[in-house]
Amino acid sequence: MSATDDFSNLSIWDLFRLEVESKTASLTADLLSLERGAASATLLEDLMRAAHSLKGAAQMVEARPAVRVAHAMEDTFVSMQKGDVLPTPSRMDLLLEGVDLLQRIANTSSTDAVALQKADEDIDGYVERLSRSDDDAATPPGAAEPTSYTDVTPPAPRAAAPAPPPTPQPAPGPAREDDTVRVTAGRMNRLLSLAAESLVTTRWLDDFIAAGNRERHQQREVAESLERFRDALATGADNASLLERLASAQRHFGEMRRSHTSQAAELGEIQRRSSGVATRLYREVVDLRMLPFGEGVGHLTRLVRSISRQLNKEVRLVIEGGTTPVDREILERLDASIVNLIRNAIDHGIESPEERVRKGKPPVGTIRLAASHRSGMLFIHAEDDGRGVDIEAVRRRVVERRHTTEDMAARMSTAELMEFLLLPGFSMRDTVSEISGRGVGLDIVQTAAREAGGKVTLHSEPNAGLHFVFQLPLTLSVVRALVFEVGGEPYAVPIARVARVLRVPKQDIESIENRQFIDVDGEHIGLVAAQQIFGSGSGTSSDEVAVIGLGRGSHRYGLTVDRLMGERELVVRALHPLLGKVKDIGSAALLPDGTPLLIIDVEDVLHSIDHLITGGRVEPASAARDRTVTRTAKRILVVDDSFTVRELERKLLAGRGYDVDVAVDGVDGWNAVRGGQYDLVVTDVDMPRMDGIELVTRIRQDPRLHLLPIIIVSYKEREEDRLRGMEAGADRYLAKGSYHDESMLNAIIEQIGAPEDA
Amino acid sequence: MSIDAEALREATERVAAPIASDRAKTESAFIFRVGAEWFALPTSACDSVIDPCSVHSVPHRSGGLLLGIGNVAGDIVLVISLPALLGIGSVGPPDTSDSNRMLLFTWKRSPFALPVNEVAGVERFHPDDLVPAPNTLAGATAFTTSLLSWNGRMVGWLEPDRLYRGIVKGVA
Repeated sequence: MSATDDFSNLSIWDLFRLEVESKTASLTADLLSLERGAASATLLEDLMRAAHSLKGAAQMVEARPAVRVAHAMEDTFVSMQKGDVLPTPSRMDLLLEGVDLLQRIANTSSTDAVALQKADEDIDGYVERLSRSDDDAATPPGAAEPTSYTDVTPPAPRAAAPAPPPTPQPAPGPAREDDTVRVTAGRMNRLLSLAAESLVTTRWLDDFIAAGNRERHQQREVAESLERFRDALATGADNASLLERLASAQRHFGEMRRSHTSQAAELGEIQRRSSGVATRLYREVVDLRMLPFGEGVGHLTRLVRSISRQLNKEVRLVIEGGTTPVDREILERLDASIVNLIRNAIDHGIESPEERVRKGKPPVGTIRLAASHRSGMLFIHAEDDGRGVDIEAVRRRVVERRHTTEDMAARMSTAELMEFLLLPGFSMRDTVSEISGRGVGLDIVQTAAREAGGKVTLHSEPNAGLHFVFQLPLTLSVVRALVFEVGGEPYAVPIARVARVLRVPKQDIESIENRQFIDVDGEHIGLVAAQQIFGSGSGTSSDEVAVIGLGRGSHRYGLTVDRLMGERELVVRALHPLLGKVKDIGSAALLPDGTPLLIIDVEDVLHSIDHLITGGRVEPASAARDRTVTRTAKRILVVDDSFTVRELERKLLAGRGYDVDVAVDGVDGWNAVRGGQYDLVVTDVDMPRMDGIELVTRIRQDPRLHLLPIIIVSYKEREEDRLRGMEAGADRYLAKGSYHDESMLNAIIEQIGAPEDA
Repeated sequence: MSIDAEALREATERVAAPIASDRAKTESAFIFRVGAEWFALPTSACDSVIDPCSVHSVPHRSGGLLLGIGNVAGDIVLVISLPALLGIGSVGPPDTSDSNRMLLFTWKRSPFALPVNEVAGVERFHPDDLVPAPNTLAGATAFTTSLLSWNGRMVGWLEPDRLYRGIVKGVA
């Protein structure tokens, strides 16, 4: 349901490869935890599901060897669940080997039929060993030539010494609820003394309260003195006694003032002390979230080695600034992107040793990863010394794709042209063969950088490689945000994502076809009411409209809000995990007075606005109540946890003219189906968090949604599975693979008609 | 300084009197009112009674069971509508106008704020004081498994685990 799901420029095989990549990391991590003796019931469940889902994806791309490996692994996990076999070390070796096999198959070209055929034969041996492996019949890892498949395609040079069995390290992750974080004794002591100091400082306030009581007493004395003075004046006392009473009042007042001055000084001291302690305490705790950069990217060395060996290239990874502390969560969010960049760099950027020598470069290519702190920001550089981007090819492509005119393109600077490479859907793959794939997934890199609260820029010199620079906040735990009010409730948007803020007089808002826009420096920015996005009540009305500019390129919009409340540093809090992902919302925070607020998810909001606009459902910003719905195409929600399947279904249906949304599991689907207006739901059965059966059951129980047509598309083809689906209330139950023979399309047309039917 | 003889006698009597019941009152529960109905929630599942906090609605989610998020002593907690969960009163936005307290229901380390109309306090009782709920309530979705006699009326005993599952199912 988010912009990251736009994989439309990838082939199905690319999608399969990406899926294998993402699943194998968690498979490896789970296998290693299982071996270490972690609680196995849920782990086995996860492992089985991951293997099952990979099997499905492999079936989709007709990668028979991968299907068989995944199937054999799944069987083993099922047997382990039943207790029939045990997670012995030799079996764990074989399972880890299976993970590597899957990765290798996915990294082979889909068109390499010979390699796939050979791989299929090799798998026989693997499946056989896995099925009979036991401690008594242990096959030492490596003895049965488990890497024979890599020798086939492409021919990789054999290392002089046999490579140790690969043990990929789990990627670094943010500290989750039950994760443990290593704390040195020194830091523990510092934290303890800071905590103690903050307690002592707080106690100091007790004295202050006592002093406050004394001061009240002094005030009373002053008041009484003045009272006596007035009485004396009223009864006509003589000057001497009047003066004496006045002096007494002045004396009391003087005492009070002295004690007040000393208290003010004391209060200032307390404030300084406690804010100092709080700041140091906060820094120490933030440091706990930090991880040395080198530790976080260490696992990439193995990746670079294995990919370059596969591709018959020589590449070394240089890590600079390895001790720079980096927020674990930021690194986690960027990990997949960095892996992608490295893969691209080795695959497409860095030339073969012979070509490099011809160009006068050292035969060994270099990929440099560097991290540094500069002016309160974290900079991560990812750089290769390969062939770089042909900027003239990009210029031609920009014109071809009608992003701009030939004139404009001719005047664009290199930096401006590079920006296009980061746009979704801007692929160089079919025109510029020498940098094929360079455009693939670069918008995903951009999205990942934005989600981590930063941005990425791209530089290239011909024949001097590509250079990515990530500019990121030091930590995700604090964000500088613009606070605003919608429907009487506070919301916030990270400042980094705000393009501009405007206050527009109502008469300056123009309207065409009931769509509102404003003119900003000659550019028309469409307005959308935040109320409409969040579905909240109407707020205050005034002569001015506050507008927050979001987005970039052709997706620039103005979000109208009730009131701007200024900029603030907010400590980011996760929403309750039970809520799952809430559409349009990223996280929560507290205002200084304790009021809770929600921080919006800008990508989601832009996505929602796009939907409103393509659905023609934008309401006038100042009168967002009259909801008239006019839609152009029928809307279908596709729910599947495999993005290979998801994308295949999405492409198939979007290609026929349906308006398609995707959701990644039952919970996501349930949220989407409640929020959007769909004409039909297509769902898988086996999914994490909430399965398809539960999703169907919930939809059927919902008074508003119970008539929604639902088609289940699943690998589970047995009669009892079909029965379970139909009993839950599905209208159709189809086997996966029905995309190939159009039976899915026919079923959809049967249910809701052609895309444009009224 | 002398103690009033009458007061002394009364106090002595009070202390010397045998405890009315020979059964130990080992259980305790908060007794509270939601709409017109009274309920009991064991103190083991109820952290504290708090003043109502301001509630921020959650887009696309608030309206039914989930009222929104609130700040309870610096923690961001989910605020849950008991009328919506228990099916009391009218469907639609619950009337919170006369809810003057919130119960902090904590189960499986997750705290939830439950606005209630009135909290009568903590009542101690013996496990045998709980009687099975009438079978009209004993369905799979009922959160009340037993009844407790309190101040001459029957109070619905809410089963924490069922309550928790009801909340989880409703907000996910």
